[in-house]
Formats: sequence, C-alpha cells, structure tokens
Amino acid sequence: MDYYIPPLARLIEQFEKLPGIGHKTARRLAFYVLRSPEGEAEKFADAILSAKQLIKYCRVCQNITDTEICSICESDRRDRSIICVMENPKDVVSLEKTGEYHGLYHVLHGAISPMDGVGPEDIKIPELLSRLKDNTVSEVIMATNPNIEGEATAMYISRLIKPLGIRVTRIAHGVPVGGDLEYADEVTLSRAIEGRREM
Amino acid sequence: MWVDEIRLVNFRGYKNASVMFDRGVNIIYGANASGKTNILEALFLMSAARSHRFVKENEMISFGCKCAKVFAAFYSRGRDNTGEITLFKDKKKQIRINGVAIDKTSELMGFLNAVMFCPEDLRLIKGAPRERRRMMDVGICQISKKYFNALTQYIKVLEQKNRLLKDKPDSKALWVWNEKLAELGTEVIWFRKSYIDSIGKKAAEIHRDICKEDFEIKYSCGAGVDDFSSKESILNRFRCEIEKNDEREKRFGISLVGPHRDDFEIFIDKNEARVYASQGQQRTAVLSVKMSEVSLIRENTGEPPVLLLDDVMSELDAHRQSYILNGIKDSQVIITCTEPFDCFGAKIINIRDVRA
Repeated sequence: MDYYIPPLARLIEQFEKLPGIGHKTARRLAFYVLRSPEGEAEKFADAILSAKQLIKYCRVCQNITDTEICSICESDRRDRSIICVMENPKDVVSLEKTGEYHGLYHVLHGAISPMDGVGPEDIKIPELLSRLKDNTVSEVIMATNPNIEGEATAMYISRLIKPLGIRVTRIAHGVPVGGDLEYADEVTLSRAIEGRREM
Repeated sequence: MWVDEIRLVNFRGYKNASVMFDRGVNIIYGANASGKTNILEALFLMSAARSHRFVKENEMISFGCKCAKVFAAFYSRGRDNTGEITLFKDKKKQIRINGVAIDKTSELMGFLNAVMFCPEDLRLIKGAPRERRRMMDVGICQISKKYFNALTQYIKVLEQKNRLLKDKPDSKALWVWNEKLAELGTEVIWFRKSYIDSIGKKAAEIHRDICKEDFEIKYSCGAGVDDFSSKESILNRFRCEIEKNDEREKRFGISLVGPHRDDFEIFIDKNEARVYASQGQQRTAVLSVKMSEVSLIRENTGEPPVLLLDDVMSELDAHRQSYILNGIKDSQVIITCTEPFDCFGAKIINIRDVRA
C-alpha cells in the first residue's frame, strides 16, 4: 500500500476492517470522505465516537440503549409477564417492527458455540435468570435463531428456567408469509408440515 | 434415467473431450492409464457432487489449470436435463442444472442417480468402518434428502461437542450437545438401520441367485443400540450410552458414542466375510450389495440409476458377468475394461477416439 500517503492508507485500512467491505469499496469510501465538505467528516467521526461512547447495555434486558434502562423496559404499556429471549439487538428491532409483541425482551448477545469459544457464561444468561426471581414473569419465549447453536442455547436456557415454574415456549418454525410455498426449502417446509394446526 | 453425453474440460488428463452413450450397455476400452476411470469419475461427480475416490476436489483439475468443467446431458424425472459442474483451485465448486445455479449440494441429489462398482469397493468388506459409513451415506442420500439434512446437522453438532470436550470438558453446557447429538443421531441411525435392512434383504436374494450361498448383512450401531423398533427406544439407549461413557469421553476429549462410529458386517454362510471369505467370495458379495443398491434406488425413485462398472468385469467369471448384463435390463450400464468383449447390442467405445 506504499502508493497511498499514510493518512489515507490509515483511513482505507479502517474501512476495510468493517464487515462486508473489501479493499476497493474501502478505497472508494475513503476518497468520498476526502472529497466531502469540511463539516461532514467531523460529523461522521463524531457519530461513530458518540455511538460508541453513549450506547451501552440496558441494565435490565441487555439491549443497547443510551439510558440506564432502555425505553422498552421503562414503558408502562408493556406486558411485564412475558420475556422474549433473542440473540442480537438486531432481532429485537425485527420483532418490534411487527408491532404485535407487547412484552419485554432479553438480549443474550450471542449463542452457545464451542467452535467459536462461546459458552453459557459468555452470554447474558445470569442476567436473564436474575430477572425471573421476583415472580412477575409467567412466560419466557425462546426466540433464538433456528440453527444448531440457537437451538442448543434455547434448550440450555429452558432447562434452567423450567424448575422455576415459569412457562417456556419456542417460536414456531414455518414458511415465510407473503411468499410462495415453492420457494421454501425442504427443511423448513417439512418442519411446517410437522407443526401444522387445526383450522 | 440415462446419460446421453458427458464432456470434460481440463478435467484430470482431458483438455476437452466428449463421450456419447447409448441407453443400454456401453463399453469403454483401452490400455491401462489411458483415462477410462476419469470418465466414470466425472459421471459420478455429476451424480453425487464428489469423486468416488478419496480425493480433494482440486486434484481433479488438470495440472496447471485454474478450473475444470464437466458437462452432462442426461434424461431423468421425465425430461432431458443438462448439468454443469465447475471445480476451482481456490474456491467452492459451482453447480448448474438446466442452466440454473444450485447453491446447495443437497439440491443436486436425485437429479442423476448412479451406482459405482470399482475394484476399490472390496474395501467395503476389508476396509475401515469409515468406508462402509460412506457407502451408506452415499446410498441413502440418493433416496432421501431428509437423511442428507439430518446427517449434515449431526456432523455440525458432533464438531461442536468434540470442540467442547477438548477445550472445556467440565462445561455446564455439555448436556445440551449430548442431547442434540442424541436427537439428530437417532434420525441418522433410524435411516441407516432401515437402509441396511433393505439392502440386506435384496442382496441376500441376489447373492443366492448368483452363487447359492447364504448372505447376511448386520448393522452395528455406534451408539450401542440393539433395539431398533422405535425412535424412542433408539433415543433412550443412545442417551444411556452417552451417560455411561461420559467419564471416558471427557478423559479422551472426543465423542465416543454415536452413528459416527457405526459399521456393518457381511456374513457369507454365517461366517464373517472380512475374515473368512475368499477374494472371489468377497467380490461376489460386493456385487450383490451393489446390485441391491441399484434396485433400491429404482424402487424409491421410480427410475433405474446408471450403473458404473470400473474395471470389474475382467475379474468376474462369465456367469457373474452375464448376471450383471442381463440382470439389470432397464438400467444404463457404463463399463470400462482393457479389452473389448462381446456383449449383444452394446456400444463399444475406444478410449483413443475419446482422447483424440
């Protein structure tokens, strides 16, 4: 990378570290930053810094927030008897978009996966258990991803919760709504058949 | 189903060559080391997305080339199809069926079914258990996608559990992987047991037809299961065995219980073939197994698979040869050998004409 002057090379490298960005895209972004008006670069840098500095985990649900306790946990319009357990903050956003779920959340920040060196102590399981102590929660929905790691995590947590007398449910596996059946893969489709319901 | 044509580009020793086949018997003959097996390898690749030999994908690419291509025109599922597989030196292979890219290997399964019989298949009796498991997997994958999926998931869980046993054997989460392993493993065992049973039944008939000997094949389950009457009984026994071996697994840092340690044994006239059978008896036993694979695929898919015979005819006597050629009337058969032999209605292909 000798042909870039050092400050530019540094910028390109930083972009290239981002997920989904290769060398060429990084170079394009870096040149874009150089060409942008004075204030823009500052705003950009500030956005990154303040996001990183201000955003922390909610003390209750571990979702990302800029306050001590996130707006969902604070809200008095949410049903406090249900907690939906998810792997990532991104998943919470997806479920929130539906507008259908009115309970609380708990974000694990990962799933159990020995191959990636992640054990139960590395994700937010103790935090979840301590939330269940005061008898307000009557149901925990396991909404981890439907892959091997997500299933294993759900199974692990459900066994910890069941002795507490709390109902543990798992989200259904099925075909995407609004699409055509022909596009569903066989595994999903056969799970959907297994989980069929009376009409 | 049958193959009309196969074309090889930068595949093994072939720069660009094409072979046309008849629907019936095809005999490819030529000197040793002239590339006959490579044609069958390419056909098998089109069927199973991998070589029939234990080789890496990039070893099939001609020396000094970046990629190899195999094209095939074949009839299956009631229509003409084309298949195209491109192997790359440094990235994942690309598969196209009828011009459409396929991203999951499992989707290729069943388009072109083939059964290969080659000299190395004697290892089915003499070789390591790993090779017999592979034979079961290749066979069952051709007739069940559900099995392919269960097996892939089982392997993922096994990797996770092994890693945990190695890195943190005293982890609190080990039971989760044990439970998942037992769940998915039960599915794998269920399929393998019923596959071996059907193969055994058919092979026994065929074997008796060929040589009047008694033939039996016994599935031995790596999870210690002996009662296969229901999935529950398999699962329960599987769980018990994992629990029993917990100490040892932690000590050795590896999973000791499960279908990844499955095996089967072949008995001829009540004697274990691996130990007591002669070379000729073993070859006949393998032939019976292969022929029953053909008929099992036909039953399950409604179409006879393509039979690929690599250099095995010369080692069989006239009686067994005619059994192959007459016993499978509706199957396409592609045979390689060093000298052409008489076979009514067969298409004779000289390998020199292919290479030219």
